[in-house]
Amino acid sequence: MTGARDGPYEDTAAPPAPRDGWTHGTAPPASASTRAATVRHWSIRAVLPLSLGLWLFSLRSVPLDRMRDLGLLQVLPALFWLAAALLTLGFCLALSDRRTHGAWLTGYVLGLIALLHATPTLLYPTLRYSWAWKHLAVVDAMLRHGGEVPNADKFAVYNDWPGFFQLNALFLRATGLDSAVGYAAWTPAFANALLLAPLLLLYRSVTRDRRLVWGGVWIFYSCSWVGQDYFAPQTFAFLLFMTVTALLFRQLPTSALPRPDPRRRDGWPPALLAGVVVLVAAIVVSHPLTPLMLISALVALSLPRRNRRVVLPVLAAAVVLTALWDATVARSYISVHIQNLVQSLVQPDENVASGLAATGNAAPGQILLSAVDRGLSAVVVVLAVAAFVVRRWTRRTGLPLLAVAPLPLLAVNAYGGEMLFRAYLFALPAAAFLVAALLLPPTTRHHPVRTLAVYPLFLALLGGLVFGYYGKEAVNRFTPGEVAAARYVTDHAPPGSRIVTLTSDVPGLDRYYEQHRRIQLAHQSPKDTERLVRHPLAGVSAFLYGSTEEQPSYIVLSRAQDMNGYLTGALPADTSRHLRSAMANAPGFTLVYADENATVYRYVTPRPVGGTP
Amino acid sequence: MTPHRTLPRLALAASGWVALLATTLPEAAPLRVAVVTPFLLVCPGLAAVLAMRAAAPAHGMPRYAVLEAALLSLMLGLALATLVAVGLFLGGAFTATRGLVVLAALTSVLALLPRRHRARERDGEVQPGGGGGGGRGGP
Repeated sequence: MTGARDGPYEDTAAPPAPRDGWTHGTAPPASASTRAATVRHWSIRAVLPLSLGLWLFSLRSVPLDRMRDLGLLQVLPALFWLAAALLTLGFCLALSDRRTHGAWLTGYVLGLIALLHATPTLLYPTLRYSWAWKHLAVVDAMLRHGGEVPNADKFAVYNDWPGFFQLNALFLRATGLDSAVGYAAWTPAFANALLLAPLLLLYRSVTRDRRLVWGGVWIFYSCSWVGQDYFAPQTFAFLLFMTVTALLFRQLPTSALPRPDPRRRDGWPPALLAGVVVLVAAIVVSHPLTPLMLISALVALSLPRRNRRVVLPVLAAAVVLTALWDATVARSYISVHIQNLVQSLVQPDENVASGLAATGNAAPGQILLSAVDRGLSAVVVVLAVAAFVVRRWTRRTGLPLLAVAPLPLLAVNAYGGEMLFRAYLFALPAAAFLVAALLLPPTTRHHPVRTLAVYPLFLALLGGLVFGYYGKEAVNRFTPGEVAAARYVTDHAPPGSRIVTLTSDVPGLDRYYEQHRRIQLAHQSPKDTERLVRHPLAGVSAFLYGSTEEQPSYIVLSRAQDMNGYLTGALPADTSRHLRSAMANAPGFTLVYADENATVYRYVTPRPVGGTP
Repeated sequence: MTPHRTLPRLALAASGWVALLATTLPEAAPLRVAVVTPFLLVCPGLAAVLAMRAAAPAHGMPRYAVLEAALLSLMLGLALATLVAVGLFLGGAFTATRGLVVLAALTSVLALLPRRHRARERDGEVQPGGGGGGGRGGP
C-alpha cells in the first residue's frame, strides 16, 4: 500500500462534508450545492425504473426475421439503445454519489444483466443456442440410460464429466418435470445475476472503496461478451470457480475484509476448507477445462509466500481430485487427447491464433464484429496492464496473478479453437477490477464530475459487448418450425438412421444422439465440401450410401444452418437452395416435412432398375 | 438452546423429508416443484453453512457476511446435489428417491449437529466503512 491516496483500503465512510467535490475555499453557495445533490439524488431513483420501462417497451415488436450479419444489433429499436444509455448514465450518477444506498447500485447492475441477458429470452419463442439444445439432449439421454450413454461418439466427453447433467437429471426426476427447456431459457440471466455475489465478495476482499467494487462489477458485465453463460457445464463450473476464488481471496492475508475468526491468524477454518473442497470436487466432475483453470489460478496465487498457507491446501485438493478423476472416470477422454495435448505444446502459436475467427469468407458484418470483439478484448487487456503499472497498490492484491493465470493454458490445449475466449473469460473478473482501479482512482475527497467522466467509456465498453454478444443471433435464435422439424426427425428416425445437416444449428436434433449417426456436410474434408458446392446431389449422396427402409437417412435443411453458412463463409449462401432443388426430383428422396424455415427429406437408396424386388 | 433457534433448525432438518414426501405427488405438480426446488437449491448448503458456524446467523450480521453465507449456501447445495447424483449414477443406483434420501439425511445431520455456543463476534472487528465478515469461524 502506498498511502491513503493510492491504497486499496480507501475508506468510503470518510467524513461526509464536503460531499460534492468542491475544493476548500471555492465551495459554492450551500443552496446550489444542495440543489445539485437533490437533483442527483432523485435522478438516481428515477432513471432506473425509467430505463427498465423503456427497455421492456422497446421489445414489443422487434422484427427478428430481419436479423442477418449483425444479429440483434440491426433489429433492436432505438428505444432499446436509449434505455441502455440511460441505465449506464443512472449507474454513473449512483456511483458518483456516496450516499447512494447499495440497493440502488444492485438494482442498476441487475438492470444491466436483465437488459443484456433477458432480452433474447423475452424475444425468442424457443430456446437460444444450439449447444443449449444439445445439453438438453444429454440430460435426457443420461436419464434414459441411468448414467453413461453408450455409443455416444462425439458426445462421449459428456459421459466423462457428467456433473452438470446429472444434477439436472436429479432435479427433473425429483420434481417430475419433463424437460429442462423451460428454465434453460433463463439460464443466461440467472447465471449472470448469481455471478454478482462472488464478484462483489472478490472485489470487496481487495478494497473497501465502494466505487471500485461496483465500478469493477459494471465493467465485468460490460466486457463479458464471450457468451459462456447459457445452459451448459461451463456456466455451472464457472460459477463454482468464482465462488472458490471469492472465498479464497477473503482468506488471503491481504484481504480488506476482517478476519472471519479473529483468533485464527491465517489459514482456513477447517469446516470452511471442507466446504471449499466440496465445491472443487463439483468443478472436477462437471467440466474438463475449469479444474485446469482453477489449478493454474491457484499456482499463480501461491507464488507470493504470504498466500501459501491459504492457497496450498486448496491447490492440493484441486490437483488430487483432478488427477483422480482424470485417471479413472475421465481416463478414456484424457488418453485419446493426450497426443493432441503434447502436439499443441509444440505449436503454441497455433493455439493463440485458433481463437481468432477466420474471417476470410465471412459476411461483411461478421468481419466488423470480429474486429470489435478483438478491439474490446484488447482494450480490457491494455487498461488492465496500465492499471498494474500506474496503480501500484493493485500489485499486492493477487488480482494481477489471477488475471494472467489462464495464459499458460493457451499453450497447452486448443480446446476446439476456443481457448482464447475461455482464457479471456477466466481473466476478466480480475481484469475488470484492474480497469476500474485505473478509471476510478481512490481519492480522499469525492469528485462526482470525475466519476461521471467514465460514462463515455462505460458506454463504449457496452457498445463493444453487444457486437460480440448479439452479433451472431441470426444463428442462435430458432423458429418453432425449426424445432418442429427436428422433433419430426427424432420422433420418426429408427435407431441406426443417419441424420445429415449442413451445420450443427438445428435445435433438438441431438435427441437420441446415441441411436443416430450425425453428418455435418460443412465440416467434412475440403474435397467433399467442394463436391457439395459443385454437384449438390452427388455431394450429399456420397454420405447416404446404404440407406435402407429400416435405417434410412434424413436430410435436414433449415434457416439457422443457412445463416451459419452465410455468416461464417463455411458454405456458399445458396448451397441449401441448390440442394433442395436437386433433391426434389431425385430418386430415393422423399420430402417428409416442410415449413417456411425448415425442410426434411427422407432418403432410401433406390433398388437397381431390373433388380430383384 | 432457545426455541427461536431450535425451531428453524428442526424445520431445516425436516425439509428433505418433506421434499421426499412431495415426490409422491403427481409429476410436475406445482406443489411438488415448489417444495423440491427450494430444498435442492438451498437446504443442504444452508445446513452445511450453519454447521460451519458456531451459532445461527446473528442479527446485525455485516452485509458481506450475509452475502457470503447466501452464496455459500446455494453453491454448496448445488455442489452436494451434484456429487450425490454423480455418485449414484456411477454406482448404477440412480433414482430420485435415493438422491433425495441421501441429501435429506445429510441435511438432517448437518442441521442437528450439536454446536458449542460462543459469544457473538464483536463488531469491533469490523473496520469503518466496510461490511466485515463476522459470524463465521470455529467455536
